[in-house]
Amino acid sequence: MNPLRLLLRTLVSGLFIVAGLLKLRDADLTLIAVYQYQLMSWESAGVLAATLPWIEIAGGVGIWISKVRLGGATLCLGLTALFIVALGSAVARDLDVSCGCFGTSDLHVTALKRLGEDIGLLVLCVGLWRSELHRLRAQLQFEADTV
Amino acid sequence: MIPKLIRAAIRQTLILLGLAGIPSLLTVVFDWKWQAPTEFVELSALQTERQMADLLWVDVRDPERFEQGHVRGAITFEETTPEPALDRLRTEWKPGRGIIVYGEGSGSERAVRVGRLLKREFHTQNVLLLKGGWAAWPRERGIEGIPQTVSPQ
Repeated sequence: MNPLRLLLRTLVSGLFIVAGLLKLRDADLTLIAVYQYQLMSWESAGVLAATLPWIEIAGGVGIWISKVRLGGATLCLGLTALFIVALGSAVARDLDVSCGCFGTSDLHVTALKRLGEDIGLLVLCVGLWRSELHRLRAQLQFEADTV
Repeated sequence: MIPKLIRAAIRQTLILLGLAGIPSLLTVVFDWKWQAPTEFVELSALQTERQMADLLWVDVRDPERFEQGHVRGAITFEETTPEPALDRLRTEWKPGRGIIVYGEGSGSERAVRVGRLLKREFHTQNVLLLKGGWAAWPRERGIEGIPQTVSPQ
């Protein structure tokens, strides 16, 4: 296996699984973390706070399952893009948010710093997504050739 | 080839979303936190001036924002270096006296974390969170600090 691809998978899936588990561990704080972006009502924030950690975990685990690898990479990429939009809007509105991406473990990280980190994560996710796309394309090509 | 790849990406993403949907649905049905935590209190719920004055006010916003204006008598609380604020609270707090924490706006995550920390430190449940945070504080009730903007007049 390509070592770079393996490293990308490990990094991205590890980050998403850990982030999801930390959010599940502290559901109250996850709800507040979602609500503080002031993009939705408490009710909607409640639904998102209950759903988001499981989607993160599904994305992180999916990267390791050959049948849904591209789907896992797509989910991780989509979620990262979503986080960037939410954080960007908070920074633009001068909201005093402290991310909440990794439960209580990231209380020293400001939204602006996390935005920079998320852009870094986006680069990793794009790299992984492209790599998985190439892998699937090669697989489909091989199947077409053998038929 | 490309439509096939796009279809595969969409199909796989939907499968994963479906799988994530099962525990999410169970969480929503059985453990849906659809309301603000009960510690959040509206300013109007603090009925008398005396009730307001009896509370210890804790401001968890950044120190720069605190300097620009805060509730009169509030103690600034920096999460990264909490000891100075905790020392001051230890001298001013007496058992039975309520503490009210506020952040920048509605549902400040920082205010919730500090509220929890204060409950642990002072072994009290009498720690409230101001709904709406600093944004909800009526300016006519008194502000300490340097005004954020200075009128040209």
